[in-house]
Amino acid sequence: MTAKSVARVALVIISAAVLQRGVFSQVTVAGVQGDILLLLALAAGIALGPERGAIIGFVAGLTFDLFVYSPFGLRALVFCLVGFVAGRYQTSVTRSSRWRLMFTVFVGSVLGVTALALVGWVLGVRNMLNERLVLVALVVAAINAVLAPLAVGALRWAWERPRDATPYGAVTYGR
Amino acid sequence: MLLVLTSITLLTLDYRGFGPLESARSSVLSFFAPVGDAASSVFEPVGDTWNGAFASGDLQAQNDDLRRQIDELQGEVTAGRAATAELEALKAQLELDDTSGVPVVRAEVVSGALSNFDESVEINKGSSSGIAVGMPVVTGSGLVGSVASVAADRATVKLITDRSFKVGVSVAGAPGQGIVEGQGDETRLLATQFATTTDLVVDNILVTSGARRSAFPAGITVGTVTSVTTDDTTQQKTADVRLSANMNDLTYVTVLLTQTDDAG
Repeated sequence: MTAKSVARVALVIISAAVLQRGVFSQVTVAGVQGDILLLLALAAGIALGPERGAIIGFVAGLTFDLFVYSPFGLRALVFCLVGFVAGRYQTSVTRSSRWRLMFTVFVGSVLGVTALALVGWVLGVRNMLNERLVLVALVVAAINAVLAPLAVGALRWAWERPRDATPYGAVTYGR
Repeated sequence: MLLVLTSITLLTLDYRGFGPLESARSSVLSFFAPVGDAASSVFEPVGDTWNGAFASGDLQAQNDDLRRQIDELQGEVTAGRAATAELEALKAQLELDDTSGVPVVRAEVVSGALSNFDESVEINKGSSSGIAVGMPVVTGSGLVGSVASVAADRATVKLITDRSFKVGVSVAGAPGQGIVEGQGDETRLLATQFATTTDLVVDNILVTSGARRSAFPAGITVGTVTSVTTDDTTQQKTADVRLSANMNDLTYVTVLLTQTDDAG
């Protein structure tokens, strides 16, 4: 990974954090905010593979942890796993399309939000596992699915691939 | 695996109250405050338009409801003045503490919760105004929460409606103490751990008990009891409580600058 890639990935994550802080806290759907940092973790796994997905998911989660008062490291742990699992799933996919990307992100977001609530509950954060969880998971998943092509594009731009390297995934999106 | 272990280490450090993590949170709160404000000022109209477009039916119902409430409140204002005087007299008679001697800072609410799982607001005052973690936050109607994290000119307030929020309470004008917990509901709280011998009945007013080492001074209004159940097994009474403060209209709040080690 080059210094240029590090700088670009940092820029993408900080931009996402600013969007989360400034935009997604204002614009809600049914009272639910989008979770663009969870989207970054998923997109990183899908676009760049499981290891990079885990790293970017960890950093994105850690960034979100700094904003909120829930246990520090909770989102880092969950988003890291989400990025890794998304990357592992992606390696098994041989054909794809933009719709499949959006569907993958939708399902991944539902699972990610649910995992966050479950791990939070295990760690004693009682407000995470509540009656709004299904609504939150579905709305977050829908918003993330719509924004998925943009996130994948941003991460592909950010993490430059060495010229002689093999592709991160077997498929490309956007067709 | 390394990242998972790092996350678990961070979680452990956070539970043990590791200072540098709090500092990091304060720094991020400070760093993103102007960025967030700028973005909010740009996107707030977008948010208002968006929310207005998708909640027009609700807005009509809210308008009708608000008109009805104005009519009711106009009638209650006069009665309220008399009740306030009566309350002050009763407080003095019952030797209940009040919070009038505690220094306060008034602050504006600048942002709502930053995640779907937090019941919190952000205010535009912080440690430079004397605010510290754990201090109680109130409105004219009663307790609304406590300070969860603080930066120089910004603080995050965990609302009383948060399911992890707990505060010791007592029945105004009667013996007996319990704990009130948030329920994730903007109007309802749950009071627990009252002894069965406590004379807890509907319409009782619950106020903070001001236990030793608590950040909450005694006498802050929390809510009104709406129903009471008794569990013979645990020998405890539990009550549903209607929150006194209006959580839908938090524009300005007051932080009580109390000096304690513990919040709750």
